[in-house]
Amino acid sequence: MSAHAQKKKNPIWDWLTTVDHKKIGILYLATGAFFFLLGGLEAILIRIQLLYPENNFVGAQTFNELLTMHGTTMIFLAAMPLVFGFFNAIVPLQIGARDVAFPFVNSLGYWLFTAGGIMLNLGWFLGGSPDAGWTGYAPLSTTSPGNGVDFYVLGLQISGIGTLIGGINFLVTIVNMRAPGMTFMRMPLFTWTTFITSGLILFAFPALTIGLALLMLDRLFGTQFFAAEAGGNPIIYEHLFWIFGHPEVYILILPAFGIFSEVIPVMAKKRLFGYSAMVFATALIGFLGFMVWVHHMFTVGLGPIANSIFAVATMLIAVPTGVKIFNWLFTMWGGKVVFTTANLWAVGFIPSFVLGGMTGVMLSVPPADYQYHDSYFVVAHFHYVIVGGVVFGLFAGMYYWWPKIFGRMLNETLGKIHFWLFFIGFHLTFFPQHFLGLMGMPRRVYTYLSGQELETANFVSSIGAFLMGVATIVMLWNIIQTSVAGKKASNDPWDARTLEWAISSPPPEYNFAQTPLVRGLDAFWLEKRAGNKTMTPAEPLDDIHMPDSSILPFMMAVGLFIAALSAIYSSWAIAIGGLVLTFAMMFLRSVIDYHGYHIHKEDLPSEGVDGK
Amino acid sequence: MRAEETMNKLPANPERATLEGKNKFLGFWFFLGGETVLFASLFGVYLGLRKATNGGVTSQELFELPLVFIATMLLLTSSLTAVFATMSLKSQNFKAMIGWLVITVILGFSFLGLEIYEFNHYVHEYEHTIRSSAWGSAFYTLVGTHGAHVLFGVSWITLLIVRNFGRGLNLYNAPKFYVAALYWHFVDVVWVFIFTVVYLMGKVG
Amino acid sequence: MGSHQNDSVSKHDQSHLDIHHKIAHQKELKQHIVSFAMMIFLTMLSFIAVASEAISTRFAILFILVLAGIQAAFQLYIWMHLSHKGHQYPTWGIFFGIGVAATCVAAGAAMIW
Repeated sequence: MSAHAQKKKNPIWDWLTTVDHKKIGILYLATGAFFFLLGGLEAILIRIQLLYPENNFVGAQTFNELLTMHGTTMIFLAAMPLVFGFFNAIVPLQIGARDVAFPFVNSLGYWLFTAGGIMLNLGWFLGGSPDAGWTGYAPLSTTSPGNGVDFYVLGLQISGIGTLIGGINFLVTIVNMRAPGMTFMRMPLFTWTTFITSGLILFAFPALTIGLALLMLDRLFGTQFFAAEAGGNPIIYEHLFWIFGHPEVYILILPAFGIFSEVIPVMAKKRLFGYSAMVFATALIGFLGFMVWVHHMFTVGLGPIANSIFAVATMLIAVPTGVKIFNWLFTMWGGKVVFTTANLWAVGFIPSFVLGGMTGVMLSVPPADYQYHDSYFVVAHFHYVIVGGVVFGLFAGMYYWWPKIFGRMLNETLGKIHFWLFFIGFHLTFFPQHFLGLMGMPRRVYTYLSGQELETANFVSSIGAFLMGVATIVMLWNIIQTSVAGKKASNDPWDARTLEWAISSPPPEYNFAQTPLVRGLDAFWLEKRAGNKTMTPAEPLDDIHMPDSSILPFMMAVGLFIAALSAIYSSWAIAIGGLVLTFAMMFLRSVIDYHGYHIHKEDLPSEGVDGK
Repeated sequence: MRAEETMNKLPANPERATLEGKNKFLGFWFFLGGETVLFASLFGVYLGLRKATNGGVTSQELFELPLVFIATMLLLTSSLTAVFATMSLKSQNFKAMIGWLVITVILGFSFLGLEIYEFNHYVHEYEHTIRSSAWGSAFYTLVGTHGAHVLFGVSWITLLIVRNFGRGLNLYNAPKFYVAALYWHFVDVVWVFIFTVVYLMGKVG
Repeated sequence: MGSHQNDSVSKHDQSHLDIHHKIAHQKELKQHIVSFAMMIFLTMLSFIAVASEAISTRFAILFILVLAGIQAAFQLYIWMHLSHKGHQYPTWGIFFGIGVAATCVAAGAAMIW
């Protein structure tokens, strides 16, 4: 594992063993994009099935599998890794760090996520996918025949462990690895939201771990946790799922808020309005996120007192969220707003997300919720917040940071076509679903009858979904076309404010040749205002310490994958073999000393050559 | 950060003297915060199902306090020896640290032995199994998860002792010993709640 | 950041630090032994409260839960050194965890039917 041997590795080995956060970020983004396309395809199949009343395009069982896998894929295998992709690619740069706190753990997190993602999708090839909904409520999930739900339980368990350790990595990175002068209240908002999100991951995921573990025990080992006939209690599963599940929603949306808080000030040429209020609102949303899980269970029958308390707590969240919306509006107010593609997504986000927020407040009223519950009104609501919020945020981040991550500009014209097609398609799809819900159309049912005035809105909704599909093809074409013949990106194409734009695009493996000195909020902007082209270094040029790359994380994930797959088919000997493999890799990690290596200062490019 | 650094030259808190050490220290504490939620979820499940005996044996009939008391004393004492090991680490007395850790591991294994005896006893004498009732499922899962943590802890500490036996304390392995001791204390904290909530509350009903 | 901050301590300062360190060490040792005795005592109280016929069930449960809380605090603050310098973030981490833990326990124990 010496320094010089590492430079001549073949590319596949290099990507399997990398501990470089920028490469892991790209892996996360690529894997997340793949699953996003898969989840999108499932959505389109769902909408084809619902195009006409009593349609028989896929049939009831396949429809159940499609809707389960669409939800699970989009939340856990698309949105989560895309968010983690941006954490990895951007946050260490924004805080002026050379690396993350735990490069090895970071890589392990990625491979566990990928192993879990593959496991979840194996059902398509092995006789049936999960079909109990993305929430996997017991006893539907514990009694679902076949192996479908086993793939859900074990796949999510493995990828969940990956997410958890990834969250710890970013918490410690942000606490310990900030550059000199980068105090907490000088951190960019995206870093702040990463910090809070990582905290939510740390405290929310263990509840899911237990919920899934109990499902696994009930399904594979004959325990009685959720079997009412043996004294078990399925409501406990609902609690565990939503104690995790509600913070999960904020785990997705807060990073999107962070991205908008980066894009809007840069594109308005103004500092973010109300920075400290934004930080406080983020923390408050994270905090309140743990106290509202029962609003998913209003109709369970926990009684008026529990329902009222959780209703009030839920309504409270609208306050910090409203603070954020106004701060973004005031940031744009009076600014020199440039409508780049990234900014179009940010501007389009505001009305879309506000609509989702309004229906959220409607749903937080328990008596009204009894009417909306399990209807298309809820489907419309959460797609407005998750697509209108999270997906718009991810697209904004993609157009904004693409040049930094890949060193090439995306085509703005194609980007704008992508935005408008997607924006119109999105509203066409989900706006009519509010009314479908109010008219009584239940969610998760594979068809509907004619003559109930549900035809038109369903038809429009499906057309909207196809438009989003076309928009995604435009996006893919943009990526392919610009990666072949795109314009090379400069260091700072948007005249931006934060540290990642002070270094070359893409950044060198050590990020900063010299750790930068941070003199205030919007550190790079301050230097540019003071007439400097680069950051002032906080240390003399010296040898740079780098972590050792390692195949162990990949092998650990392979071991767990083998163990889980064999457990599903009750091949216990092989399952134990898989676990032994994982523990053997942990053993090696413990007994081998990893001291890293150094890039010598003589080998660094001289100043001013990067990015030209 | 080389192994040849002699013991006396290490700074006052060797577990946090390097950036790697600081990261490990903090990351491990955060991990313990997550573990708190993990065990709390199991405690919540247990409390919800502790009366669901499905017509089988009840907790009053099953539990024997003397056994639990001995197990508690073993784990409590092992927590004291682990804290002595941490103090030896801070005063850079490598031999004493290893000695205390060896005692910790022995106590940990004794605890595990008792637990295996106990589970075996319940299964064979009372037909109280993980499948016999929802309470049985909750009991074995909660206490078993704790037992698995004990097993992981003794294996981990044993591995650290064996790996570093011949090379003394340095800034590279000090954080490893320190967080292993933290883990051991945490396992003991969880046991405090297990003997209180599972066994003592189970005895009074 | 970090890895070389103590290199410049001179020999004189070092021996000075050692003396202070030794005194602190003795103090800490005493503290740990006292805590251990306390914890044994609390554990015995719990077992006695449950074994005794004279104490009502309701009170015994409340009593042993409080004792468990005290024991946990002893472990965290004295044996895991949460009271020492440089433990602000660990304190935040563990207490946020305890907060979420409380909701999990409340859900399982009281919010089911």
